[in-house]
Amino acid sequence: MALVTGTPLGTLTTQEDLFLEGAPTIYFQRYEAAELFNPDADGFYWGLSGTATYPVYEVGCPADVSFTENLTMNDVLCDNVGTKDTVQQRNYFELQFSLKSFFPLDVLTHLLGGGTVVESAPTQKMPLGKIDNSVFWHVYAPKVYDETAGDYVWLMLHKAKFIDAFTINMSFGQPWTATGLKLRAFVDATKPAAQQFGMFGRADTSVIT
Amino acid sequence: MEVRMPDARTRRKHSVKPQEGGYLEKPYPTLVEDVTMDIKLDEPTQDVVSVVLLRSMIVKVVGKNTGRMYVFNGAGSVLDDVDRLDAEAMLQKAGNTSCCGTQSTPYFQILGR
Repeated sequence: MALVTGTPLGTLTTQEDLFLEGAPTIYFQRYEAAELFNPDADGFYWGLSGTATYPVYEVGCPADVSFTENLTMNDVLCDNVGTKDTVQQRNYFELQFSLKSFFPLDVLTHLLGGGTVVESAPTQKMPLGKIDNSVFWHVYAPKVYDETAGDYVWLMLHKAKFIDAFTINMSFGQPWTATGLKLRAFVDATKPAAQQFGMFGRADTSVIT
Repeated sequence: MEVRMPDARTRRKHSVKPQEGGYLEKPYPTLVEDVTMDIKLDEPTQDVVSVVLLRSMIVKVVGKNTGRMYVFNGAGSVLDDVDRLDAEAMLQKAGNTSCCGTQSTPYFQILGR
């Protein structure tokens, strides 16, 4: 029911009473691989398509997932009138999460900055050495919010890197949990200016007609 | 001294006359003529296939049919001389199922299939 008073006149776009809950599933693939839509009919680059050389990895059982950005802000200060503006520059986005799935090691090694895993049944061995700073990833994180209709949203980050130190908590009675995992998404200069970091999408056949 | 001839019960069925010198020799079978046969065997046909590794790691696997050790060096690496039966067994090495129900792809794929 519209308000009797206070409703703005003219063109009005309201937000829907539809709320997202829970973390998306996080997939990542080497940056060298082409994205699934490269671009799509609307000029957007997104999605992942695994190949023999560049498989797609899934983060199993993430927890405490959050998505944030980092900005540089500088006020425009005029000595006569004060602050007139704030200039912002987006530095990067970050997808942060904790991890409770540790196997197989050929996925874990990318999350923790390990080396090339060697498997010789019945063992897998993951080396812990220097970090390879030349490795970047595409990140694709879809979240289905209506499983009946198949409606979902997705986040796409073009060029991300696992950064910062992790901590693995090994408490009694608790599953091992790796915390402090961060995927930092940088500018991908090969993409159009409007989507140099990535994109966010929604697919909903009932609402978007 | 009285010499008694052996009776029928003790008489040998086959009498062998002693040769000169008093030694009895068993008759040896005649030697078979030495024959050399030139048998040419066909080279065993090797049924091999090309196999690609789909996982991002170095995988060493022992073929279940031949017992041969195969070493794959990372995702996308191909070995062209994998015994077919070994390869069929490798295909059984499946991936795991994630917490969300997604199934990992198997470790290996036979190229050309």
